[in-house]
Amino acid sequence: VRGGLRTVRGREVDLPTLVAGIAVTLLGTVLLLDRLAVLDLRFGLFWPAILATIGAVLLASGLSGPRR
Amino acid sequence: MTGPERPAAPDPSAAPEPDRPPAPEPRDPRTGPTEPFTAGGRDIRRLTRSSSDRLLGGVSGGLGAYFGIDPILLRIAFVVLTLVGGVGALAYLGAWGFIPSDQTPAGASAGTGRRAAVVVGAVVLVLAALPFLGPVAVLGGALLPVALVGLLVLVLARAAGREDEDDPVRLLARITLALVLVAAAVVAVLAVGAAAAFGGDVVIASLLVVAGVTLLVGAFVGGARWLIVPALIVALPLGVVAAADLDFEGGIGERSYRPTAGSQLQPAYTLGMGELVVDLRDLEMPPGRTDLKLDLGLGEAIVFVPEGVCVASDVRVGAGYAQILDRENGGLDVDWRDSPDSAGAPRLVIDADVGMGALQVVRDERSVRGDRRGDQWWDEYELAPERSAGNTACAVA
Repeated sequence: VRGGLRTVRGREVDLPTLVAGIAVTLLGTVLLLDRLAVLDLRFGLFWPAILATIGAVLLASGLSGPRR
Repeated sequence: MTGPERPAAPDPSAAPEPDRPPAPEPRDPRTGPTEPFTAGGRDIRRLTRSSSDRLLGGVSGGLGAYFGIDPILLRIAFVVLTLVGGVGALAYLGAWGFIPSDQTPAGASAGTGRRAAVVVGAVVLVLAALPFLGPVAVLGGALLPVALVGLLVLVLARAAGREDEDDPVRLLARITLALVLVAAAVVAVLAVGAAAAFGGDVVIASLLVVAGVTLLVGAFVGGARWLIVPALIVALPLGVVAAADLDFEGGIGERSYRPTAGSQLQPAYTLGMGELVVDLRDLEMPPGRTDLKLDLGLGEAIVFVPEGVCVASDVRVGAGYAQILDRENGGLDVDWRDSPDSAGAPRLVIDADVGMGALQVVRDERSVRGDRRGDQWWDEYELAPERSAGNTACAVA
């Protein structure tokens, strides 16, 4: 994983930030839709979602290089 | 008259001489101590604690060398800030804990922390997948504590697992600061949760989406990794507020109502946080159906119902439990609907929404859990028939 992802300009993509960005954007969108009464979020979905987000970020952080 | 002949300045565009030794490779900052090194054409200096200019941990000496400031001024600043609220001591301890010494190679630090992150991350992912794997409902309530303990272990492992493990003062400083940061995160979670429950939920959710997009962009342009932890600190309480439908706008405190006539019944009894008591024992229940709506964000709602009334209920509890006379149900996402046949008896239909907490529908005080009868919330409590009469006014199915 380390150094494996690069942009078209050759710059290395920060994997933990990318994973966190995807997860937080999805989570934020779901929460916003819930607050706007478009959908009804329950604990049965929220706990796995927040745990999956934290776990994915930790895993990406551990597998990637040092902080940039 | 001409001066002494000076050597010509080298032409930077000239081709390198074939017999010139190759330029030394830029030194990796993780393999050497303190001097400036070159990366990407820039001179980069490491911030380190000084081993030669030190009174305690060499923090002021290192900061002074890094920023070109007299270390004495920094020491005075630390002392003054310590006398004014103790911030200086905390900052010094933090710097001692997290700024590496100029005697240690910088790359020695990250290995343990990364391994801990991989292990804890994998465990947390497995915990997240468990509810979808089948008969693991017994773990449902334990998922969050297990995950939180794992994360706390990770924080401490990352704090303790860096270089200089043989320096007990540094180790203690790092662990202390890590615990302080955990406590600050808990306070932040509670503050964000309260702000969301008081009506800022849409704004906070919008900010979370913005933070996510910023992280996505930052993954490609750099410099946004710091935003991960604040985003998660915002997401956690906002998710709890959303999943439990917490709403504190109904007020905070204790509310007690004791209507005696149907005209005194309110369309809805609402409370944001606290204890909500509706005592209907003096109410002349009209024949037929009487509706009672309760909306509680966080806390306990207690409804006293008179004898001879058949109770029907439609209850939703985000996290907590509901006790309807001699029956109870608890956990996360409790949806409980009970619609017995009233067989001609007056019928009370309770429509209750409780975000986090408890709803108790009882005949008298003896059946109320908690302080009213002297026990504690952690006491094992089984509803004895003599203490909590059932829904006897309803027809037996």
